[in-house]
Amino acid sequence: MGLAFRDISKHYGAVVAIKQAQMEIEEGEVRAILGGNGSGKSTLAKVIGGLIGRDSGEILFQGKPIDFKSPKDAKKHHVIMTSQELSLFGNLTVEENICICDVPVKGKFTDRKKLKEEAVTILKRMHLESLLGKKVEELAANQQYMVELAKALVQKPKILIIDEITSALYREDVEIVDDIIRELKKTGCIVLFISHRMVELYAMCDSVTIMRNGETLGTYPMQEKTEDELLSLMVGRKIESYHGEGKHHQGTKRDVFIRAKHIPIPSYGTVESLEIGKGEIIGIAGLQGHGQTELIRALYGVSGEIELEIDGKAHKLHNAKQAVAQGFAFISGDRERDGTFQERNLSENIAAVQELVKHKKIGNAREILDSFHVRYDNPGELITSLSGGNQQKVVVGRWLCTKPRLLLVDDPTKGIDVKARGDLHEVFAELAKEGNAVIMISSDDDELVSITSMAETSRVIVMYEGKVSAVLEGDAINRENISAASMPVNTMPQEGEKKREAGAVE
Amino acid sequence: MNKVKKVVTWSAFPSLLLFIVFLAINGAITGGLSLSFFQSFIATNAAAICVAIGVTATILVAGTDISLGSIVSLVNVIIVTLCEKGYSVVAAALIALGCAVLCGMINGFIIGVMRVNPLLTTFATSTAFAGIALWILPYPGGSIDFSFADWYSSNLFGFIPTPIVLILILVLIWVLVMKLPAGLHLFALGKDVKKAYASGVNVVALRFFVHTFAGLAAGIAGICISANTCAGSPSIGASMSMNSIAAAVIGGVSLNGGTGNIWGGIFGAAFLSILISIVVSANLSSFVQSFIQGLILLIGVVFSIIAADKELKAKITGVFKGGAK
Amino acid sequence: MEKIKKLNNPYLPAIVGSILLMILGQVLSSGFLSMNNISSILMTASILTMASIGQAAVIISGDSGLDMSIGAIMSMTALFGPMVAVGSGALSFALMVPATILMGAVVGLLNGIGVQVLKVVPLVMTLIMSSVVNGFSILVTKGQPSVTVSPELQSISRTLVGPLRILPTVIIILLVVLEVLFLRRSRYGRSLFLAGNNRNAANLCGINSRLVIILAYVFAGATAGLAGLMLVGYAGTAQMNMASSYTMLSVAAVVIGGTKLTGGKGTFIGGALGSLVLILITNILQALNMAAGLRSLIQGIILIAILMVNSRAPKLRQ
Repeated sequence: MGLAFRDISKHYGAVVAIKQAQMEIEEGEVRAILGGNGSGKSTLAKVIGGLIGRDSGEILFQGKPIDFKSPKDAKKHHVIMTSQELSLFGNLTVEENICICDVPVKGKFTDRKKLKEEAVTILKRMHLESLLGKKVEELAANQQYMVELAKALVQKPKILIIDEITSALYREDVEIVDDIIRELKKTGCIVLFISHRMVELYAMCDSVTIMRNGETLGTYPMQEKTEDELLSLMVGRKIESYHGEGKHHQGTKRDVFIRAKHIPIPSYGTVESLEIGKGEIIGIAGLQGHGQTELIRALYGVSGEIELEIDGKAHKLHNAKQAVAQGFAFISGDRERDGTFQERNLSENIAAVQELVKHKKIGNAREILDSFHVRYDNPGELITSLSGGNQQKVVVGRWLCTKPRLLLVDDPTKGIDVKARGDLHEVFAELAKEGNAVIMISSDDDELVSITSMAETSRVIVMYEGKVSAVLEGDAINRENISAASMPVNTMPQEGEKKREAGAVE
Repeated sequence: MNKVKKVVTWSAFPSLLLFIVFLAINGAITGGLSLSFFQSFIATNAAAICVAIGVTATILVAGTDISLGSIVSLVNVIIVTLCEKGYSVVAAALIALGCAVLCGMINGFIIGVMRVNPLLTTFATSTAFAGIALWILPYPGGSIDFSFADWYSSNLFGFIPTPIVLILILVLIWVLVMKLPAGLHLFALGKDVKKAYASGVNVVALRFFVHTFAGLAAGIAGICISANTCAGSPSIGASMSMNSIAAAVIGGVSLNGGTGNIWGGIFGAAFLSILISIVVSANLSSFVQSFIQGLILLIGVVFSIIAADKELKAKITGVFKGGAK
Repeated sequence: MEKIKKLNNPYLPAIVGSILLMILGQVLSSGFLSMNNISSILMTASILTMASIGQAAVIISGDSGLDMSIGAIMSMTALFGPMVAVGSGALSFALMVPATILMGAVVGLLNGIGVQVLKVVPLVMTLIMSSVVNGFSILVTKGQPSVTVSPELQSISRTLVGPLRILPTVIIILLVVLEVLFLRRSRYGRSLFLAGNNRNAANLCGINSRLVIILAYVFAGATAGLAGLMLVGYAGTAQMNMASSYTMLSVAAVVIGGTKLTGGKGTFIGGALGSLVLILITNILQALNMAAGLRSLIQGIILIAILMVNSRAPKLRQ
């Protein structure tokens, strides 16, 4: 008698987003939906949440068909969707945000007192009273996520859809979320959990539905399948999710290429230094927002002037143009914000650096696109006609055709399927093999373990609160060491508590 | 202490401060602040303040309205023409007000329901409304019975000047709306349309409402300006659209939407008005005046945007220190 | 075939609109399509085209870019341009062109600095700049312009090249040159598209977006300056604020020509087609001998209709 989807289909123009999706969920069940990018899981979530319409098919809830005309309509039936891109308003306070979907009223007017009470009740449950009265734009990413969840809970969900928690939660936050989901289960609430983070899925979900190319492939009890099995189902062929542990080269001598003695991390007020070797791959790990991005942006010269010793000679960089002239390249994982030119075609996207900044010819755009295995029709089509992974390959192609000597990459494989991810790793490793250096940030520790095993010289640097908390080399590069250094154990959870209070003061 | 801080960081505070300072300067130049100066100041500038209130409402939802000046002209022309045709002043004013609200509704319909860009829409409707005004009254002329001016310069309920009452009507409506859940929704919509929609906000209705409200504000402004001049001119409101946007910006209303309040629009407009009256009383030739007025607008807007930017920077560093990216 | 269709897509409404309007004009008043009238329509359309080229560049530059000072710049150069008098009439005329371009470019530079360095929203910055420029014009002329337009300057609309007048011919050539060599091929033009489409990404690529965008405003100022000179040459006399309507007409022309206000995309030729549509509308209304007010009302309504067909935002629920 829970929730059932029958033959749900949805297409945008010629692109099929969901193809006859089927699913049945019992009341009180927590269901994970797992799938690569473009597999249709977010679209499916938005269909239930009333954000988008469906072309055909039927959704049954407690035996009755439901069809929401708008998110407002869905909320009336206590079907709540949370998603980071669609939830909070930075200009409103925490309590206003929590109650905005169903503002308590006295007569016609907003009941401010009751609004606050409702918010306090829910925040107390989540141990977040310190956030009261603040504007959401002042909050840290993990705090925002918790407020988002509070906003969903206050609406007393019968179906709760949690779409992509992209920010890393602190350990105690995860426990709170876990508790809350357990409570929801008791009330018979259905929870749909969409995430890429396997650890969280295993910790919270009862069962998992796999989606690929818009189709639902099957549902399995969560504990019955291993991570590798799930990933193979997702991709459609057998893969090993992670490899590389224990395969690292030991104690190779480093031939210094760039020396950076003074790299400022402004948000923490700290300073770091780094020596980069020729042919080296340096992985940078840590929880999101601990200064990793600032470190490589500073190296690229885009956050103020930086002094670097390149091949023994001193250089000063203070903008991207000078960095490019030195043979630097910067690839961001936030494709839409920092990477693609969405109104422009593939060849323009490819030529952006080589022709417009370095004033050289790129030659044939097709050759470059082919060499990076981009799937495309012709170089004159808009970049947005490609899938996310292929778009990122175009951005990578833009930079690699400039023959960079130092490649700085910030979580480049975020939201890209496993196949494309592997392709990019090989490209990076190849670049390092030619004697150039690669510095890569990743929010996925396993990815770092794997890519650093692909080069002769490699290191993983772990950052915590703007400082390097560990430098791992050789066999020391493994998941356990990385996560231990990203959250120094004895400082948790007190440290997290302090952090939250610090957030409260500012 | 906390209260002081709250006042100082209030987005409309800089414009309030500017207004008071320049009011004092004006007082020093003209030899003291008299009640009669204040009365004539408010009578002359009530229209500008009303338009600023209206435009602020549209800017708060990340829109804009550049047709309000044309609506003011239209209202003025309608009142004059109806009065000449023998209608009573009250009837003429009410009909004109109704037309203004209708104009606002047309804007609201095209922007809200048809989803056309607000700037382009109100440009197009501004051409149309100004055209109607010019069609009805091709040349400046006509007059309104002076009882209208008497009513305007008198006090309602014995002690509140009429123009202030008119402004207060708008403020009252706005404050009441702010107390509704729709008030919260309005700020949410200003911040992000998609998020607002996902949170169950009625985007179409809110957009329709703010433009209707702006139409009403322009209508009241038209009544003020007509009562103050008692004459008709088809281009009387032409420069008001732009000045009102500048007033809102000076009043700390962010053109990106979601930040600010109508007090900012009110104080911004009052500040601009007092500046202009200082320029006028400085006995410069009228040619110099218009150039200086332009410069004042420029300096005022640049100043207030830079001032607001610093606040933003402080906030961003605050978030960074909180551990976020 | 498929390709041609795709290529013409953004221009299609403007082309169809022009053809329909020409037919309508002919139906309403015979002689509308006479060579003389067409040549005069092209004349006025080319002035608006010149203004719309600059407007298009600013709109392409993104960041809600918009130049609301184009009318004021045109009015200013229309007043000051003809004042250039050095030696012979021909020499003065030859100097008027760079002089007006320079005047416009200076205002454009101020706009660009205001928008990119002082971070004032383009709409507000350029609106206020327009009132400064208007004030400046009044200040210099003391509100009583006494401009004599030299015969050389007037000749731009009187000299004939075949059946057409010289100015539209020059503008059509200039338009194609600017579109192909400047906007599409030149390094600057391509950088403009990238910076307008995604500033962050362009900056990370090493493109100096700020400079690129400032230059777009300078370019818009320069073309407006030139357009002002063309206007006064055509009109034969100069008045205060004579070009104020060109600001929004240029925006409308660019939009009708298929350019979106979001930036990173657009063409100059589209703006020219849009100009033609707008001028045709004005011309038909004039031919019908309508009162100025009614004309402006109908213009407004047509514009609203075009916007409702052409520039609706996508639905929130897909």
